[in-house]
Amino acid sequence: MGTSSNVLQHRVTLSEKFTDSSTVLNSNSLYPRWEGRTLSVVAFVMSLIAGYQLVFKLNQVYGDAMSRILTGMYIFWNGNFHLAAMSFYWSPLISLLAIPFALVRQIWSPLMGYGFASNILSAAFSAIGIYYMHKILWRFGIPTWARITLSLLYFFNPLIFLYSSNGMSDGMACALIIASIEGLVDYLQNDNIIGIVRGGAWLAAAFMVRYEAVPIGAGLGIGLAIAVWRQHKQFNRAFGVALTYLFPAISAGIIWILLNWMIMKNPLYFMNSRYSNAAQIRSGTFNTPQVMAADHHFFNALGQVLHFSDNFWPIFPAIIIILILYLRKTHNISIGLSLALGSIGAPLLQLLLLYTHRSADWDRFFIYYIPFGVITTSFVLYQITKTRLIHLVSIIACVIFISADYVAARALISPIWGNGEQQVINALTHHGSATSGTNHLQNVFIKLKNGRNLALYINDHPHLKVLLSSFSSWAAFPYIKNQNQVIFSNLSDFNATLENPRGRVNAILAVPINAYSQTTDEVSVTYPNMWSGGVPWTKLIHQFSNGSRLYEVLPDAP
Amino acid sequence: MKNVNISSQLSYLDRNLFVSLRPYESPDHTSWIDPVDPSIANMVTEEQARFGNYLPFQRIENIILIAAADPDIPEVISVIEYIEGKVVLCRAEKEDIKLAQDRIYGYQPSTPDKKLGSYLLSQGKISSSQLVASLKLQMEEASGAKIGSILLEQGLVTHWDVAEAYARQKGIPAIDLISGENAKAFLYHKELGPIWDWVDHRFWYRHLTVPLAINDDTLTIAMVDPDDQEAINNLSGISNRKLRIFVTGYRDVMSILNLRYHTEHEEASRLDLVNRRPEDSAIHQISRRQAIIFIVLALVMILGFIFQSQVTGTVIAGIIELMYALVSIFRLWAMTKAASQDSEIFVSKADMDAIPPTSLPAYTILVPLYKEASVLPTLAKAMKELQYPKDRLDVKFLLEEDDEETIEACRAAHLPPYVELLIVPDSQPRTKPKACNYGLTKARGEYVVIFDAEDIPDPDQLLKAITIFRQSDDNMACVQAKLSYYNENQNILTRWFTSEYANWFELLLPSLYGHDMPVPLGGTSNHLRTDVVREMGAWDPYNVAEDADLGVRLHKAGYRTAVMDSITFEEANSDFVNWVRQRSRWVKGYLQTWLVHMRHPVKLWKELGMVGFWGFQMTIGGTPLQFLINPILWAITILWFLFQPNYMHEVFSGWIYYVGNLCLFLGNTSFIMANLVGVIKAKRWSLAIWTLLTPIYWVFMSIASYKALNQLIFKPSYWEKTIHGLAKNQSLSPIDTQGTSQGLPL
Repeated sequence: MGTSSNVLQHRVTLSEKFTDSSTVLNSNSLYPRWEGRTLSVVAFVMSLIAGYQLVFKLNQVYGDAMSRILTGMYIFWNGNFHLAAMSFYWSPLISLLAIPFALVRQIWSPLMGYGFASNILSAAFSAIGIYYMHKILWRFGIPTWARITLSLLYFFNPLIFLYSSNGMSDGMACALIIASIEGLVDYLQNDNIIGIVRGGAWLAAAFMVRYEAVPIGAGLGIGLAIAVWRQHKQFNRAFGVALTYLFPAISAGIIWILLNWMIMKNPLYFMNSRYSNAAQIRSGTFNTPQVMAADHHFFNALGQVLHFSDNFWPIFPAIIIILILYLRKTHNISIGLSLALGSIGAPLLQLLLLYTHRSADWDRFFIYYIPFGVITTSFVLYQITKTRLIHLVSIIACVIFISADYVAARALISPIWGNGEQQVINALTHHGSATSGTNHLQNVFIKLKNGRNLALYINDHPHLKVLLSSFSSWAAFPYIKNQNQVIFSNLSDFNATLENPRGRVNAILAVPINAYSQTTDEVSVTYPNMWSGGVPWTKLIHQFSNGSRLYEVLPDAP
Repeated sequence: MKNVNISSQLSYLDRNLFVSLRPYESPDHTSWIDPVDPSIANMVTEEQARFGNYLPFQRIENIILIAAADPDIPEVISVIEYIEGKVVLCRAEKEDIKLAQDRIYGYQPSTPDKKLGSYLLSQGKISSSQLVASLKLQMEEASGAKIGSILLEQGLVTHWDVAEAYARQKGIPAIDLISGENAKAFLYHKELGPIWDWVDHRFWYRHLTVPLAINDDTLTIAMVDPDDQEAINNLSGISNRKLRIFVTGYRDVMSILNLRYHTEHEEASRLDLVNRRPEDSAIHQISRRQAIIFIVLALVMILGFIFQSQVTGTVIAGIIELMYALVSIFRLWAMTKAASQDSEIFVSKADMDAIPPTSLPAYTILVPLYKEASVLPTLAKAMKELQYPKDRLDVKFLLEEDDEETIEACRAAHLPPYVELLIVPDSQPRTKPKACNYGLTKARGEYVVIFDAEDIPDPDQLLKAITIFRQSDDNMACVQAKLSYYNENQNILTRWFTSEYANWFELLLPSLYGHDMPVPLGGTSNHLRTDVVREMGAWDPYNVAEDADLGVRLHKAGYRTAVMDSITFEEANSDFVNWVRQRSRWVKGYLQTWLVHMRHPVKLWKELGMVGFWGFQMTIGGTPLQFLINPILWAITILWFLFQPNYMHEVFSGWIYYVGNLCLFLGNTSFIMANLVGVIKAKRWSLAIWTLLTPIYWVFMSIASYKALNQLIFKPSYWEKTIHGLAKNQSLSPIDTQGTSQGLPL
């Protein structure tokens, strides 16, 4: 009697299943993993080094990245797992991934204190992104030297490299979208069902990182359906395949809405809370001339959206070529069609948001041009030319990619088209430091210092139990020793305590009133006069160097 | 020629008289004397004389002397009846008789040159065109099938026609065992008693042979195939006697054997497993130890609720949620594994072609039927479509004794000759596995497969199974084909049912096989090695999920079950009540199987290994568990949102709340996704949208599961019969345009 391993070795007869040599070429088992893994390691190490430089040498800490990481800490704030503390205005995956870092923050406090956990996550996602980018290029039949070079040129696109190291979710979303596209390409090339399952799972993960995944996924899904329908002329088949691809993301969306409903009592809390992009734009803080020009002016909005394609300029020529080929029906461009529709998903969303004045014109919102541009351009170059003059095509591709990276770098340093990034560039070029306090990111770093001061004060006064807004005072939390000394926005009893503080807390932190805090800081929203001393049942205890004031809750408080 | 009572005619034979019919020289050496008197010889026709190898050759006074090569045969004995006067039968050399006949009737070439078909042609049984067509077919198939089998398959001749022709071709007498008193005489003859037991009863079935008589130097047998040297050598060796052989018909032998072993087989069909492996039988639902454990657990739970209600509730909720989450994760894992790698075995046409058709063994197909006369035409057609030499098909329709309607319909249906009707004796438990066991006792095939009455297997399924068996290790005991439905578009129930099957057979079972876990066999289309099934004690007649149970027992014994890329189409249950009956039987069977094999958990762990053990828990235990738990969890969820009772907040506090959420969200998502991927893999595209509504289907499953639980307690071995034949023609799927290699033979 043979062993079970013998049985397992006896698998399948492949002679009939895989008869097409091109299919065999693209079989997953033949993928040179070592190439992808080497690139991943390189990307991870370089991103981590860059992240370290950003945080600890240039003092560049991104507030959004920091906040997402801190929510991972809030979940276990009182020692109990409390998912509702995760802040439902952020998509949740990064916060969940931050939990292990939060649990070990005592080992190295900058993990949370400077939000370095987010930089580690960025680096890890960049490794995922380059791995799957390389795999996609391999699927396109690109020679080894060229696919490695092009993968690296993708990674070294200035915006991608920055977002591989800065802890922001945009770079992570790019990686997940690339992974999703890889699965889709696998299916369209090889009819491999696990491809759409895998692609769908990555897309769901992308949704749990950035909401841009919704229009991108919709574009890819519609493209997939059209491609399948065009190939087989079966509606049910096209619909079924697209549904399989999109189902994980749709489920994630439904679950997210249900969780918002169950916990925040508002199914669309993540979209319309006071912390949403729309609410922040309404505060006027981000009203640049470009944003104002696009407000309800379609062509201005469209012009901006198109101009941001300088993050990777070849994308639109590539899309146009795909559409021409689609109409001429001379090439099998099923993959290209999905890519083209996926490419325009995020820009369309931004067009809508800019036009309706619900978003800023930050460069990072257009980062998706880069992965889509790289993949679409590669597809066009290699699929159209097939194997003819492949090395010449590869050289041309490298030249195009280098020029694209150069143009992206130029855009990045532009105050208009590099909106939101040029401060980092300035810090890089002028060796700015935390103490100069001249730019937004360094302000974040200064906030960290102020937060630490607040935490030290609370630690030094163990009798205090302080109510504070996590939106304004998040920087303090990593340094609070006794976690029962604070009640902040993410905790379940925050709202009740805010309304009726007596007996629940004995102090409240009020921040200086400005346009931003008026809309986002719960204490300021509920008690607009507290900071100025206008709430009769409070008494000033301490004023911090950043202007925040700590008020005692008097016995006549509600 | 028929109805000859051999034993009563033997008194005419003078056993000591041996004559020579060769001419001899006169005493004076002047002339040759022929001992054969032509006027006496012509008392019988040439045909009679040559067929019976005898010849009347002399008259001495009123006594007619007849020389015969074998005086005992009916053809010889029957001639006595119409020859006037006293007759003495003498023995003579066959060659002497042939030469004498040639002298009297003229020379005739020796008989071996004449083919079976020629005999049938000369007898007027077939026309020359039919013979030519059949010979052409024989050449084309090149399966080694004899011309008799091919003519039988085409319905041109009967088994008895073939037997007679065989007898003439071989010069061996034919004997009818069905008519008259012969059967009883052979069965109950004292001297034959021990002979039956010289060999296993399967020997007689396999070689289609029965003993007829015995004396000091001769064993007389009847055979369907007198060329079966294996049988001849075995019997002559065992008996240490000469063999006298009669040719007889297939149905003659089967009727004798079925009569002979009726009681023994009936008993075996019920008790073989109980006798061989009582611990594996569900004749007793739970063991004493299990009963004690359940009672203790119940007591602990009751006391816990009385004294520590919150802790008890939390612990129970935690255990349930943990198990539920594990099952959900397992199914998700199985889905991804099956979708990412081809765990099922693909058999190419080239692989099948590599098997010489002449090497194909006998293959038994068991088809249990109960009140299913309406599906007979479809079933017969499906059997006919099978690409397998029909002379080696041993198809047995297993009919229940009280089902007169189906029995009559079968008899009237002019079923092909390879189909045998077996009447399963009426006894308890009246279950499908008992009927299959009964059929197995008479199976002649090296392999055996069960098909349901409404099944339409891929025509090359048997060949694929043989190919896999031959390319696998010896421990490959079973090859499971995938099941699917042909009427999935009939209504929403059939759509859900089909998508569930797609999940089960396209994803779960291949994953189980691929990861060396026990495979719960599907109810049909499981191709088994006959010797292994018998060794295992066959199917458990007391277990209503005997298929799943056998899969586990095979794994425990070190055998493996593969899943192959071949589909059997069935009829999806389209009626809700009927569906509940069927599903309740399955769930009850899974519960029975879990209880049986969990009598000794540590032993089970050792037998299945860690991976197999957990695979068993997730599939056999986890499947019904989820159906049973679902309503409880739904009720709790509704209560939670509607009333938010404090007690539930206390019970579902902390991590239990989150595991509950995980089960609610991830569980639902993973099961829908698994069904979705299943239908995509099965290329049932139109079902994709309907999988989104499967949570409603789970309500149905829970209803059936509670019915199953009730029956497990009160009617454990009761077989809930599924009614077939409810599919509407317009709902049949155009599967052939959607990716399967074989169109539906409807």
